[in-house]
Amino acid sequence: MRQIRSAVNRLIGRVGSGDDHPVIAVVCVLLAAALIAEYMARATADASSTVSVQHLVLVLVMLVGLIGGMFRPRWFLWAALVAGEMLMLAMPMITPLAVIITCTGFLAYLDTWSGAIATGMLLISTTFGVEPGSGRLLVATLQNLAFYCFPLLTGLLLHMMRQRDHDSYLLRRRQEREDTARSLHDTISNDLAYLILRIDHAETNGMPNSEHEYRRQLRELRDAADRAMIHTHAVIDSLEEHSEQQSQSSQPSEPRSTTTLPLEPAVDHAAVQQAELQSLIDDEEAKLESLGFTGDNLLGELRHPLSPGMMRLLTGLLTELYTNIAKHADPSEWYAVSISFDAEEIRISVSDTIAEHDGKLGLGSGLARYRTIIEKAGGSFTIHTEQRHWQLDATIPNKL
Amino acid sequence: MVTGGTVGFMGLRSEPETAGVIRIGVLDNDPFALDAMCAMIAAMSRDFRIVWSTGSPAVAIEHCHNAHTRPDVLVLDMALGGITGADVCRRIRRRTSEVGVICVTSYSTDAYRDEAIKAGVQGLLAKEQLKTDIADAVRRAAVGKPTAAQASLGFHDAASAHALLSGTVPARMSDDMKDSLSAREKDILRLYAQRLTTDEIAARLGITKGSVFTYVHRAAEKFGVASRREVLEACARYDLL
Repeated sequence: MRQIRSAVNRLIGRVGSGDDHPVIAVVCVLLAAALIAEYMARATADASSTVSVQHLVLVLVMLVGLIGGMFRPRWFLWAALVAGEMLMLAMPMITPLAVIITCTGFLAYLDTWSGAIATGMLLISTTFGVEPGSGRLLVATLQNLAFYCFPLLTGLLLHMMRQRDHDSYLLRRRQEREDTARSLHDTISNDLAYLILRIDHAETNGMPNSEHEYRRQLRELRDAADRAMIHTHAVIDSLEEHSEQQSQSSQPSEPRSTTTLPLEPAVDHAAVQQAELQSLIDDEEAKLESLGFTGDNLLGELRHPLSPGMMRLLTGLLTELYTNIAKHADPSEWYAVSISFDAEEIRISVSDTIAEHDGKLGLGSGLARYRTIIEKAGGSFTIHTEQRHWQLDATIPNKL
Repeated sequence: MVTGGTVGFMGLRSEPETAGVIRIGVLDNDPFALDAMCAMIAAMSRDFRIVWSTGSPAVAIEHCHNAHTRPDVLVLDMALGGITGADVCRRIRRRTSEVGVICVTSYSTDAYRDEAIKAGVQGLLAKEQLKTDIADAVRRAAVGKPTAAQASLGFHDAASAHALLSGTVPARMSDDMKDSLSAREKDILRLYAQRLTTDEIAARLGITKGSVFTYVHRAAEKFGVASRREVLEACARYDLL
């Protein structure tokens, strides 16, 4: 069976049809073969009534329709259907019945309206056989209605399923792209922004006091650039992983890896996550310090482990918030960040003073993206500015 | 109108100061409790002026450090959704002795007392007794002192608490501290002091990032601090590495 299918696929591939319906192609071939076989059998058994020009023409048209249906099912299957119905009226055989039923089903699968029309034609053609006026007309019609609707419904159902698969595939593709954009922004873009800020800071400070200090500053700049490089590679890796696993639904791996920790059952998962968050905050705090900021960062106690999706969101949001402070806040004034975990939500709050010559009021694209995500999840994200004071309060419901 | 998370500015320093007015900031993450406390405190005396109230610890800390919005007294709840009031107070007290801090709690005062004392709070009051205790406590805290009752329980005044927390106490503590860090913890902290990143430290020592976090976390607990920076500060102050 598989060999036939692959042979047929190759044939179709070479001919180059627009649609790819291997199942339809295979079934058409089988029906064509069965048709020929049955007709031959009938002809040899009962020569007089079978072999007439009209019947032969109809059989040929059906064959043409079936063969053509392998390549352009939308058009050729109609031919097979109509010819089959006419043949059924003249000379009832098994294969033409199978042909018209399957053709109706396929047409319904390909296109809803085609299926409906084909079923209508099928129903009408069945009423030709019965004499009008007899009580059997109603019964026969109802029987046929029930019976012939079967291919229509099957076809429609398969059509809907295929549509839904396609839609979910498109959605997944878009989701992956958005994730990649976000991870690119959160890591590399932020790393480079930090690098630029460091260079600006070094420039304003002027000559360093000693060679030791000079080397230290260079080393820090190099480390920051190195981090950006590592993140670039990590993002490239995750993109390449995506293109290999297109058919499976895979979670995009984050460059800022929060899953390098081995899952030991004995270790308290919440404590591990807490330590990770604390470490992230420490890193960011150190970075802000090197830019001349002083402030306080409070991390509340995490009692229940967060889902991986929530951890990713939280770490991404925190990174973005710290970058925001680095870019827009006044280093000579205090900043403060607090993160607390209630039973049902996570509350993040940032408070700082906007730098004097800062032109950017409101949200940058990075924070705007997080606002959308959080508000869509049913949380809140409010920014309050008064004179030069900037304050953010975000709550994220803990169900992600 | 003040709700949890937003700040109402009702009096900035730029206004001419009436003698004897005590500027008060209030922090509580429950918006109803916040409103109730503000109302009650303001009603206690004409000298009490609530200059801001908020549900966010970050905002409260930042306001206490900023000269424009710094109050004379900060009143805050001990339980702030996973962050303790003591933690908030410690961060403020480390940097300044100019803000008196009063904590309130709806739970048992005994449970939180030690933590509050170490954090440099001037008094810990039970919410049920707030009406009787708060006026006196606020007046005393405005000059940085605990009430007599609180002092007898061990609470310090703001100035000495500040001195303790900002490390001007001589290295008598270092003997106790020196032995409590394990060799591995010292190695890791030394590498952090040399400004290596967590990834580099993990690679160099051949352990996972999770283990590095755990060691730092343990060292932080030994010092009674929360963040890596504080651990390194403590190590630098007491010359432990």
